[in-house]
Amino acid sequence: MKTEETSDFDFEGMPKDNPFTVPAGYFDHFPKNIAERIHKENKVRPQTLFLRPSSLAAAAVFLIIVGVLGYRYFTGSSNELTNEEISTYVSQEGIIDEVEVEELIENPHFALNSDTTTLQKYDTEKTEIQNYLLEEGIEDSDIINEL
Amino acid sequence: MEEHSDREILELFAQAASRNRAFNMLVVQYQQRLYWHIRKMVINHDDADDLLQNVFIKAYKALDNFREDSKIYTWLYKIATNECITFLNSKKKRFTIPIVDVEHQLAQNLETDVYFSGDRIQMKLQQAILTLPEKQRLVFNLKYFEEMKYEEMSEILGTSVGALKASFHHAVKKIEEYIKRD
Repeated sequence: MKTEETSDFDFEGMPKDNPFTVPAGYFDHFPKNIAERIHKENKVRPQTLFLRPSSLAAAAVFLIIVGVLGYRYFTGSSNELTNEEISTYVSQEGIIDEVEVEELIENPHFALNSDTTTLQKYDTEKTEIQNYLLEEGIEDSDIINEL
Repeated sequence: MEEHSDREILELFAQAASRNRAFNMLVVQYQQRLYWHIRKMVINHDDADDLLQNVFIKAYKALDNFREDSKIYTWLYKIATNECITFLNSKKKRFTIPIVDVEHQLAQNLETDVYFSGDRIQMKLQQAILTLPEKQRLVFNLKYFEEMKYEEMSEILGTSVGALKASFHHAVKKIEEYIKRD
C-alpha cells in the first residue's frame, strides 16, 4: 500500500495487519484485573515504618549498644587493674625492673603518659646529668654533703 | 462495542455511586487501542501488560482533575507514550548498554516471541521498525498502523505537524533501505 508520504517507496506487499497476539481472553480479563488493582491501592496501607531496611538497621544497632552496655553494667567488668596485677604482669614480661614498676604504680600520671617519646626524653635527661657530673669531676660524696 | 462519549464517562466518574462503572467503561473502550500502541513499542506482551496497567492506574488517579481541553483518548495516548519512553529508557540504563542494543535485543526477542504470529515479511518489517530511533518509531507506528492524523499525533507527542511529517518521511526511507539491504 502507499501513503501520501511514501510515493517513492512501494509499500505494496507490506502487510498492515497486526502480527502480534495476546494470551486467550486477555482483553476479557483485563478490566477485572485493573479494577482489583485499583481496589488494592485504595485500601489504607498499614504502617510499614519499622519494616524498612533502614529502620531495621537502626533498631539492630540500638539493641547491640544496649546489649553491650547492659552486659558491662551487670557483669561489672572494668578496664581498671589493681596495682598487684600491673606489677605481676610487667615483672613477668621483663619489660622494666621492679623499682621502675613501683615508681610507675606510685606515679600514675607518669604511667598514663608513658609513651616512647616520654621515656626517651627521661633517659636523655638522665644521661646528660651523669655526663655533667663526670665532666665537672663532682664526686658522689660531694652530692651527699650538699644534700 | 458501545462507544461512550467523554462527557458521559466523566459525569459518571464524578459520582461516587457510578465511579467504578464509569472507569470500567473507559477501560473497555480504550484498552485495545492503547495496548497495541504500547505493544508495538515494547514488543513483549508482559511488559505491555504492566505498562497498560500503569496507564490506567495513572488515569484513575488523575481523571478527577481531567480538563476537557483534549479528548480522553488523546490524553490516554499521551500517558501511554510517556510510559513507553520511560520504560525503554530505564531498560537502557539498567543494562548499561548502548541505546541501539535495546532495540536490537527487542528484534531478537521477536523471533522467539510466542505471541508473534506474523509471517517472514511482517517479521522483517517489525525488525526494520526497531532500527528506528524512538520518536520515529512512534510516529511510524501511529501513522502507518493506526492511521492517526498528524494533528492528533502532534497533540500527543508535543511536536509540530511539519516535524512529524519529516519524521515519518525519514522513517520510511530507513525502512526501505533496511528491507532492500537484507
